Parts: sequence; structure tokens; C-alpha cells
Amino acid sequence: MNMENAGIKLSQQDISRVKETADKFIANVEKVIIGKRASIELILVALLCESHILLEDVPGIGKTMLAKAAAKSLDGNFKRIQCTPDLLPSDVTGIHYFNQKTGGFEFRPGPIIANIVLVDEINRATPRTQSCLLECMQEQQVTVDLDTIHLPRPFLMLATQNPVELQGTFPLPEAQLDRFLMCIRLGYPDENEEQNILIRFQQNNPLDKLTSVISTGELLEIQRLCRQVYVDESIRSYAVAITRATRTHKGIELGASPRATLGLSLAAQALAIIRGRNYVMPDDVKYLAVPVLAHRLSAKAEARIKGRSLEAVVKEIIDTVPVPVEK
Amino acid sequence: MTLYWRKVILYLATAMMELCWIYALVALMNGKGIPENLSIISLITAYPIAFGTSLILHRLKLHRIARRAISWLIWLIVLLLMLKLLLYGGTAWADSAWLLSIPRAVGQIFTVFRAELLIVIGTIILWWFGSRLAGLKMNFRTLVIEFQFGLPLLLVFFIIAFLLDINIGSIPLALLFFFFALLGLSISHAQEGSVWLSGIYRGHWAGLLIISITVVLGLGLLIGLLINHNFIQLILTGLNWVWDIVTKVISWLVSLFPAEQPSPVEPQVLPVTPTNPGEGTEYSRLPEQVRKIIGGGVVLVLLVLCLVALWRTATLIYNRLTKRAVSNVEIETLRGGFKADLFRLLRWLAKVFKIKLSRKQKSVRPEVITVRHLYRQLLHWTITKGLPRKSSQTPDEYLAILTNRLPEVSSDLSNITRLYNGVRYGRQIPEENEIKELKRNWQRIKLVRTSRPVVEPVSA
Repeated sequence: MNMENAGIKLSQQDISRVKETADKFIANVEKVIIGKRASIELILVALLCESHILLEDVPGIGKTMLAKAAAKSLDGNFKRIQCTPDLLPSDVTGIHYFNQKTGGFEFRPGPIIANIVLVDEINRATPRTQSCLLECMQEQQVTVDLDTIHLPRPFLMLATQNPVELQGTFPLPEAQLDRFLMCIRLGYPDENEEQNILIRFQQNNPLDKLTSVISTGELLEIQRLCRQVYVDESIRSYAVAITRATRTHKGIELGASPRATLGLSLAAQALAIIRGRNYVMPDDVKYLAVPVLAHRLSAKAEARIKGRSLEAVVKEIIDTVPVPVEK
Repeated sequence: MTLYWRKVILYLATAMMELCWIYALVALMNGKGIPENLSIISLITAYPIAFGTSLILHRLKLHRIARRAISWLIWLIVLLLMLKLLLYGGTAWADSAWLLSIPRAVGQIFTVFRAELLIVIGTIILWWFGSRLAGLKMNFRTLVIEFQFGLPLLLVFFIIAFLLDINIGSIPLALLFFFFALLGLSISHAQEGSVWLSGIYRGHWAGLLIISITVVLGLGLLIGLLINHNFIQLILTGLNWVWDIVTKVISWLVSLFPAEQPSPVEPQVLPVTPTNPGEGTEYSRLPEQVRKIIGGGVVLVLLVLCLVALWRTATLIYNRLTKRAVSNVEIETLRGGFKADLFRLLRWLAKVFKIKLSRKQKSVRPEVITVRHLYRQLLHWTITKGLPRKSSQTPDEYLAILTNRLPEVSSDLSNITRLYNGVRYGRQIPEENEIKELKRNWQRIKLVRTSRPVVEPVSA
């Protein structure tokens, strides 16, 4: 099929190149993480959107391992922040200290100033420390004292949190959750996968041997291409209809924000190019609606009492919003 | 020829003229919207029944309202009988399924056009015209009206049938229509005393009439046979040869001008799928700018010709009026009014041109329309198979359900869905061979209906 010039700027070579790189990334991470191809693909989607990911699940599932494997697959400056209740904002952003040798104040950058930052157990940090991440996540800059320091591009934050162990934790505020493009839940591996994990980790940790497969320059280029994926007007309307439906749903107290709509559209573009297409399909939007929207919503008390998960609510919404197809 | 037989022939001519276009209409609906082929000839029997019923009711001298009520009651009986005999032959009379099929078809009117609906609409039209015929006064005026009314309708149906590629038997229908129109018109004309023959030929009126009709129809048939596909192809080849020479001359003229500087940003377009060297004909294309200039020139010439024609007509009318006028009557020159009209026409043309130009930019390519139309047809077809698409299902999700239910045409379904996805969401334009393949896919899918009974609807 031919493309009409208007609106479609990607060439077949571009798409093939991105797909090849995406496959390489996924294969590389799969050397460490077994049976979580869908989650790895979602992480890649977030990377292409230059957005942040929240990995949420019970302990021992492999959240940190997945985040580290993804980070190691990228050839960038990688830093890790282990969140604890006594972690201070200055520990994250960096400080100005007095250098006795030079007789002046110098800036010592914190771990947030890196290409890829793993924020482990984010909900163990105090709200004060969590709040210092807001500026970094949205504006890709950090303000220390009176200085504004721009974070290196690409800047990606992979955060993990444990949803069941609530003692000594501070739930993330809505403003922070909204800044994560996606919340990924890994889930337990099945029997075969668990056996394969044992085999793979028997001798040594495969993470140690993992090498980077995408350079930061390459990632920036792919991010640029990703924005050129064609989104039809009807698909845009479809994405808007889904997010708007979250605002009027009877079980939802706080619906998805316009940032969520934007995130959904961007993520759909990224998923389309990863899957070798230069246009977005309604399937992309549907597939991404749960990971992109569910964590941003706030359920009403009665819905919480009834035990309805937010994922189920989003799925219900998807099942009611009509897909733009011929009638 | 006795008065009785003349009347019979006139009734027959009128009925046949009406039946010709009604047949075309019903055949069109049958070929376009309905998966099953309905016997149109059987359906048309409603017309003579309506005519006969009306004649009898006229003789009974009932009140107008009672007459109409009885007539439409009989129509209802005829409708039910036709429904049972034509569509539900195998169903028991006691079974209510065939009776309930009408409300079901009416309920689905916006999604699918069912055969039941065609029977209802067809019998209503036939009954109304059949009843109307019984009350008509057979004279030259009636025949002319029937001819004037039927001819444009018939032509419109022929054009629609041609565009939709539906065979409704245009040639026999046209021949029949003209035969009965000529027959009816000449007889009615003769009946009113104004015979078209004079002198010694008046004695051979009937024979000459038949010869004239035969000659006219024969010539029409001969032209129809001569102007076939090969003949048109021959003309097109000749025109193509001439056009080739013209393009070469224009290309040579264009080559004399300095080449345009390439734009700094090259548009990124997917490579066109290579076609087999043997397929298709190569057409030399003029540069876009030259084509635009030539197109503009042609439009300009046509406009000037139209204006000259208008001017000439206006002058002729003016001269004629001046000659006929009595000396003391002043005739206002048409030129002033003509100028005002001319400027109004030009303004209107400019407006139309502007609208067309803006529409052209937004226009949809025919290939895209074909794919989307075919997918819509597929959706309607699957409804009749009891596999309706849920509004929240994407084409790919729906494809999974369809391939599960209709595995024998899974590749055809997936090809249609793939093309549709590209066209609908990706603004892609399918190649000509892809369109051909798509049509083949659709033909194969349509064949499934004969071997597979209606299945239960998909649970929500």
C-alpha cells in the first residue's frame, strides 16, 4: 500500500530500524527476565515516550531486576536511589558544599542527575523527598538553592514500589502518580517460567553479563521518529472518549487527567512503531489503556469496599466506548 | 383494430412501461443489498393482481375509502403469500417465524437490507401502480406522461446499475420499454385523429407502424452490439496514440524551460510495491504543472464556448422578438439583462470553483472508498450470519471471532481486515492489484453462505 504524503512522514526503513532496535532491546532484557515480554515491551514504550514507569508488585517478583536490566540495556549514565524514610531531598538532587581548597561553594550533583534513574521502593521515601521528584519528572530539571540544573537527555525514571507492605511507607500523591506514564504489574511467573528462572540463575547472575544494546543518541533518534507516527483523528477521539469516560464513571472519584490522554496517545504511537507500523490502531489504545490510566484513577469508597480494582473499571470502560469502525 | 383491442394494447403498453422501470428498481435493490437472489418475476405478479383487483372493486361501486381499504387488505394477503412462497417455502404455515421476519427486517433496516424488506417495498410499489393503472384514462397525454416519467427513471437505474456493476438486463429492458412506448404513443395518437401518416400511406397504418418500430429498435440494437468493449478499446487505443504524441510534444516544450530546484526536504514516502513487468499498461504522465495549465486552459475554452453560445442564443431571441413585434411596441434589449446575468453566472462559477477546490483537497480516493465500502458490506453480511460486531470491538478483535467461526475463509477475512486497518487508520492507499484481490476475497466469503446455516449470535 502507498502512503498519502499528508500526515505520514515515516519511511519503511525508519520503521524497520526502530523495530529491529526494539526487538534487540526486548531480547536483551529477556536474557535476565523470563516470561515478561509484555512488561518489557511496555517499558520500551515508556522509554520511547521519554516518560517514567512505576513497577508495582509484591516483593520478589523481579521489579528491581527488570528495572536494572532495562537500564543496563541502555548505554547511558545509570544511577540508583534506594528510598528510605530518612532520605532527604538534597540526597536526591545534590547540594552546594563549601570547598575549602578553592574557598567557594561547589555543586555536588545528586543521583537524580543521570540518564536512567532507578528509584527503588519509592513509597518508603517521605512525602518531602517524593515531592522533590515532581520537578525532575515533569520538567526534566532540578532546582537546588537558586540554581536550575537541566537533567541530561534522555531522562528516564524507573521506580518500584510494594503495594502490600504498608508499614513505614508513604503512598504516592496523585500528582506524582500522574507523572508516571505507566504502572506495570508483573505478576507471578508460571511453573515452567519459574523452573527456567532457577536454571538461569543457578550458576551466576545473568545481569552481570548484560551489555547495552541502545545508545542514548539512538534512543533520542527513535523518540523523535516515534512522534511522527500517524494518529488518525478518529483514534484521537477514541482515546479522548476513553479518558473522559473515566471522569464520569460511577465508581471513580478522580478521573484521568489531560496528561493521561496525552500519555495514552504518545504511548500508542510508540507501541505502533515497536510493532512495525507507522500509524496507530484502536488496538494500541485499548492495549495501553489499563497500564496508562488505571494508576491515575482514584476509586470511590463504595467501589473500594466492593473490592473492585481500578484495572477492572478501566476494562469496563473500554468495553463500553465504541471503537471507530464503519457502521 | 377495434376500440376494445386498442384499449387493451394501450393498457398493456402503459403497464409494460411501468413494469420496465419497476423491474429495474427491484433488480437493483436485489443485486445491491440482498445476499439471497429473489425471483423478481414472481414478485412482479403483484402488479396484474393489483390491476385486476382494482378493476373489480371499481365495478362494485363501493365508497372510495372502503375500496382502498379492501385493496390494501388484499395487498397484505398477497404480501404474506409471496413472503411464504418466495422465502419460507420450507417453513410450516403454522410456524410464526416467517410472519415475524417482516418486523425483524424492518427493525434491521439501518444495518442490513433484507429480502423481506424488498418484498414489502416491491409489492407496495407494484400494488400502488397496478391499482393506479385501473383508474387511468388511456389517451395520448397519459402515454406521453408515462413515457416521460419512465424514461429518466429507467436511465437513472441503468446508470446506478452500471456504477455498482450489477447486471439488471439493461438492453432487453430498454428495448421493451421503447417498443411499448412507441406502440402506445402511436396508437393513442392515431386514436385521437392526428395520424402521423398522410396520403396513400394512411391505408397501411398498422404495417408501417410495426416496420417503423422494428427499424428503430433494430438500429438501437445494432448500435448496442457494435459499441462493445473491443470497439471502445479500439477508440481508446487510437486516442492514447494521439495523446502520446501530444505528451511528447509538450514534454519537449517543457524540457526547454530550466529545471525546478529540488526542495531541501524530501518527502518520505513508502516505496511502491513493484508490479510484475507483464501486468498493466504503461501510461506516460505529464508533469503536474503542465497538466494543471492544460486543465485550466480546457476549462477556460469551455467557459468561453458556453458564453458565446449564451450570447448567440440571446441575440437570436432578441432578433426574433424584434421581427415579430408590432411597430409601436418597444422591446427592451436583452444585452443589459444578459450582462447582469453573465456577471452573476461568473460569480457563481467562481464560488463553485472555490468550493470544489476546497473539497478536492479533502477528497477521498476511490480506492479508499472501495475498501471502506467493502468492509461495511462485510459487516452487514456477518450480521445476517448471526455474527454481529460489538461496538467496542476493534477490527482485529472482530477478525479473531470471525476466523474462529468461519475458518474456511480466514485468509480472506484477514486480508480484508488488514487492508481496512491500513486505509481507515493509516491513510494508506491500496494498490490496484490489492483492490482486485480484495474483491476476490469478498466473493469467496460471500460463497460461504450457501454451505453454512445461520449460527447463533455471539454472546456479549
